[in-house]
Amino acid sequence: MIKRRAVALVLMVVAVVLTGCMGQGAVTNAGWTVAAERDGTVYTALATGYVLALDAQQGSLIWQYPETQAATGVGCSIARPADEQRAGPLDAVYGPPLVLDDVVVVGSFDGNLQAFDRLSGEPLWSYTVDQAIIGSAVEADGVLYFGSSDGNVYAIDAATQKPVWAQPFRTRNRVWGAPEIDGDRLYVASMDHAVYALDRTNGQLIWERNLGASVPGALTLADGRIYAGSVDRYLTCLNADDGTVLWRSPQYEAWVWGEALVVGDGVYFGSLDGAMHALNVADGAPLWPDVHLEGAIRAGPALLGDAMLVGTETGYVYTVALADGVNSLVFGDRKDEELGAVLSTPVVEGDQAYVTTATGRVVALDLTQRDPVLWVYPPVESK
Amino acid sequence: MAQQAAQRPQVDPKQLRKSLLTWGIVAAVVIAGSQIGWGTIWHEGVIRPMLNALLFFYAYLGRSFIASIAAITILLRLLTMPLQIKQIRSTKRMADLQPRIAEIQKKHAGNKEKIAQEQQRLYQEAKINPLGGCLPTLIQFPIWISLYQGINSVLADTPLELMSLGKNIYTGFSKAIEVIPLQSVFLGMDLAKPDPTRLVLPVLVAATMWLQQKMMTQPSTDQQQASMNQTMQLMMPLMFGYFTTQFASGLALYFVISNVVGIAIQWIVQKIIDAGDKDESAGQVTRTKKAGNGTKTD
Repeated sequence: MIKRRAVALVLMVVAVVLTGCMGQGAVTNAGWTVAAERDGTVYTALATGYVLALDAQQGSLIWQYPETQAATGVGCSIARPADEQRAGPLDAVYGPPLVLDDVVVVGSFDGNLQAFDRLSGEPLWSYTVDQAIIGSAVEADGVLYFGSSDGNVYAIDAATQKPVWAQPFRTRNRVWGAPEIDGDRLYVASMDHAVYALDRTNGQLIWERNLGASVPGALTLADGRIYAGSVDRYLTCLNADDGTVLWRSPQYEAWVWGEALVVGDGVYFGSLDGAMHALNVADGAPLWPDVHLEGAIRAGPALLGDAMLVGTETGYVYTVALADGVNSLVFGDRKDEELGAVLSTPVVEGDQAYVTTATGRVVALDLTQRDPVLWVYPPVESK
Repeated sequence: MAQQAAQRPQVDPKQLRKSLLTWGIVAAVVIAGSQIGWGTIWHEGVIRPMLNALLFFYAYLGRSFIASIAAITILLRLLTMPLQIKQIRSTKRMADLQPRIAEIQKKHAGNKEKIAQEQQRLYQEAKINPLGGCLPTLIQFPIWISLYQGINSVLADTPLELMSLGKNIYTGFSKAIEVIPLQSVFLGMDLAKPDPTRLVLPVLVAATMWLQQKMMTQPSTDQQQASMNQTMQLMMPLMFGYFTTQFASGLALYFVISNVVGIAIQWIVQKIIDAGDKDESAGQVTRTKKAGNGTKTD
């Protein structure tokens, strides 16, 4: 009898652990908080699933979707009714919002591409695909292009939400990175190990290049060259015309996921072991020895004058000089630990930068100041 | 002196060695846990090997996630087989004692303390630990939890999971790079997500678990025990059937495969034990006959 009771007790504990009871309204699949800036407003999708517009100077709220906070309290996430999810915050968002003249477009993990009025935050429309939308959508000539975990690349008319191509372009695995557009061409990477060049008017394949390993992030297109980071720990440079491999980087210690930053003769990017790399765009030769920062570098760097701004998984933000790799910590000392990992590329506007964290916060930094934090949204409660 | 020695409690050296070893292991685990950190031990000692093993089998078994889960299940079942055999034997012995327990209960009806004492004595005589049978079941729990976390991590449905996977693959396991991300579709079902029908896998899990429970549970003469057994036989499959509607179907398939393998092992071990019992009884009969003959001769 004692035996049976002990087993029953352990079963109940396991049930609670496995089914993940948590506060109602909590997000079961958190994104990593992303932002974009336009005309003095920061548009962000928090890890909690809220889409916000914030005043870039003050950090005050302009609008929020949904307007009301989700119910709080204790309960099991599994018990939440489906309509509560639908009316509530978005599912996880991983790609920065696409900000157009009138609308803000956000893709979410539940396969919805949603548009909000840029000024009021009112939801305008939603386009649903079979699986998760991870990367951002891009826009050209009124057409939105985006990839999905269902392996498809979609092109829809931004005004009517009708498909532009006869059928989506089908790859053999997930498409998690945002596409790149150059003229009539669209470049996109897939987890099927390939980089594709498509005719963006009809979705027809122009060329395909197998890199031998998955490309989870977005491509970088600059000066007729495509840079692709992959899980086999290389950065590969391709000729955008025909997809031929121009050079490959040395094999690093960890995956190269974030997009690269191309400035002048240099291409700069990070890897999951926390190393920043700088290579010559002409031949892939190192410009300076790798610089090791604290924490995995998931996202690409942002240009900041003659330096770049880099966020890491430990929640630190560094400036790294383009010329020699000399770096300094600008944000993320121990007192800021609760802000969480920086997994998305910082947004730089003049001397200000907007950093988003995995705990669902936007931090505005004035990079000319010794204490650079301008504001944090939502504010951190003092301990 | 000889009298003093006789009064000293008798210590079985084998038992002493066993106890010292057990407590030594417990102490080593506690010290290691406090020094290195329980989270690190769990992660490096359980989750990471599980995750890499899943990837290894996936890479070398035709890139089939279901084959990978099946291989892991069979491997884990084989590793825990000695414990399961012990559990089956223990359950069998407990069942054999039921008539004598019933006798004790009848004899000392109303005196719970005495019943407990006598039962304890009986267990000691028969060298049975009434909680010993729990061990195989308890060992299953960390395996289930680690496999659950391993499956979610390996299938890497979300970028955060993929990032975690990237950091957890052993350096030098280059084959893993070729197979990421894993194909998680089996019979039109995404193994990273719960069974879309919410019926097929839950029913399979519940049915196989019920059958395994039924095979494992020995009949009891104690009404209360029998009723408890019946409740557990029904509750556990129902609970796991419900879990299956919430968990990744990969884990549900693990439950099904694990139960089927468990049923097979149970059947085989039961046959071996039964054959052993028959031989033993045959031996006893022969011995009795021989002894009988001897008496006659004498």
